[in-house]
Amino acid sequence: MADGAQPLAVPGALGGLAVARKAWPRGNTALLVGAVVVGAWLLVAVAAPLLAPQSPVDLDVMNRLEPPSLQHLFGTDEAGRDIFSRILYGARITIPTALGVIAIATLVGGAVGAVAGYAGGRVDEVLMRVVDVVLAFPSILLAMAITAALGLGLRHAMLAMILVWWPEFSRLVRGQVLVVGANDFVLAARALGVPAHRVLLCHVLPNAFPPVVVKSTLDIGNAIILTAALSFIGLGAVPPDPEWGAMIAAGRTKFEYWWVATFPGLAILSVVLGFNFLGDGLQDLLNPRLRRD
Amino acid sequence: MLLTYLARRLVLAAVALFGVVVVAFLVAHMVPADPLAVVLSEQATKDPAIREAYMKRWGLDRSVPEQFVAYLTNVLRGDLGESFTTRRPVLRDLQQFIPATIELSLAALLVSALFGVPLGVGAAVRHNRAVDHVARIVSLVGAASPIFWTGLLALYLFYYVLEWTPGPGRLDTHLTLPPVVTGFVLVDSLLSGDLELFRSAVRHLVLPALVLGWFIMGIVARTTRSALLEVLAADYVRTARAKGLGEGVVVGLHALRNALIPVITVTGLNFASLLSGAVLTETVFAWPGIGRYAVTASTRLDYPAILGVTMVTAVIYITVNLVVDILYGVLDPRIRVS
Repeated sequence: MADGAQPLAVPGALGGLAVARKAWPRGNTALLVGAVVVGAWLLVAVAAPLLAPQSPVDLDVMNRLEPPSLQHLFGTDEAGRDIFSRILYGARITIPTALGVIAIATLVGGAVGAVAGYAGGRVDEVLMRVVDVVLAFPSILLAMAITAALGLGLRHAMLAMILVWWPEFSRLVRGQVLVVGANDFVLAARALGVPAHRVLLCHVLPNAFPPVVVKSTLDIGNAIILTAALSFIGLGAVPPDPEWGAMIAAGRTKFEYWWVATFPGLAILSVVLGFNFLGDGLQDLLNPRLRRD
Repeated sequence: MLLTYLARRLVLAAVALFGVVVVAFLVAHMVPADPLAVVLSEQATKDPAIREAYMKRWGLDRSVPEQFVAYLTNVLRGDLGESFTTRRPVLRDLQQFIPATIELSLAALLVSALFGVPLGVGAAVRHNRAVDHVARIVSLVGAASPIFWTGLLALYLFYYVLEWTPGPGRLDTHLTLPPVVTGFVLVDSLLSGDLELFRSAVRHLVLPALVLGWFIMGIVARTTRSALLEVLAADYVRTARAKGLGEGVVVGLHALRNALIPVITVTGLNFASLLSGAVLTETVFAWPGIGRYAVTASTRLDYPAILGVTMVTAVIYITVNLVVDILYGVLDPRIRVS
């Protein structure tokens, strides 16, 4: 972890150079580790067809449930498919699903929260009661109920996750808008006659941004776990697809074939750790006052 | 002042409960497929007379607002509908399965406190030293590992390889459940005086409780650590030290007592994630609680059952929050004002 390296290109866009310079000398290891791990997984997702030694779906019944070897790095599953290749291809299912869920949840939830916080009064009261109600459900149970109602499949699971997730961002953005909106520069903009939507979009929201970026990053990890969990249960991706959670489910009853469930789990663990490190690193970078210790 | 606060809290909780019923109703109406296709045979769905009878029985021939009123009345009467798979009232199913979930969750909370609090204390006392790093790694890895995977690994290691614990399930297969008094096997087996049964139940509980406990242990350890660090910097701790008290007394008797308040609050507020974890832990360990009931229901598209579980957990959540809020308001006058 060379201390001389500028950690990432993001600070310019997000927190301003001054913040980056302050964070830099202390060495933001979490950000670096997170960026490397997440970057590597994104690369895997893009280049899976080039990297995978074998097809992720072709059956090979002669080589069922082979233990890890040089030929099959992580062994083979009950249909003789190469688990290593399936994990590489799996990155193309789980990671984009989680990214999509959080991106949409951030946008929709953020918009609702921004309107509630800025408008105040009745609008705020009504919107926040809706948020409270959705947050009263344990997320996995509500997601399960919605997926069951819509019908099985990854697409429906994704929609269910968005429906469950957006209120978290509403609550956060609303709070941020209230804090930022109380600043004098917002009052000044209003006094100058800037229309309300411009004040919100150009003056309030950009300053409310940092905690939202941090939460989004951390939540991508949680969304990966929830995607895998729904597939594990049998509500998400369908069997031949190399989704990590579904792959773990395939190893559920086969204790003697430990590799079937172990390696997809390690894939989830590593990518989620990556996003968590990235989120913690961004937290330190964007808000030095909150830095722990 | 206190009365206004209580009234506002109660109204908000009532609004939230009403909202929960609305959400459940909306989800039930999201079903794109023919709802009758789930309950009727293919033959029967084509018969207009049978269709009409069923539409009438469930009020599907009435307008949506009318249907909602009917649904709300039923829910208020405790009628959550009938499960498609068990063919029993959902509420009866829930009553049968909920004790197993409570048993597991309480055991997991105990595990997380037994391991998490000492770890957090160690991390705070030996700040930035080895214990602190261990605590950090534990909570990082705990938060990043899917619990259904941790559960499988635990079963593989402790049941299959080491043979220290029994496999999935709540009891050894040759044993039968004790006569139901409370629904909690640990209690009922003791009441029936069957020690073998009790031992078997405890042995089966250990591994799932460890797995679920590990899942929330990180949160407990982290909260203990930061709360204790804060308290250790307080003046009264310095006074205690200045009086010449030993470090053990200062930390254990003076500091930890105050530091545990936020720990208990945070743990209470993580009730939802405990339940989420229980859903998957129960699935992996074939634990007959409401989590596994919900999973079976959802994969069979038995939405009255899954909605019943979802609604009941939401109601519990709102009630717990209400109680916590009220206690806070009564104990701390500052909160009432804001």
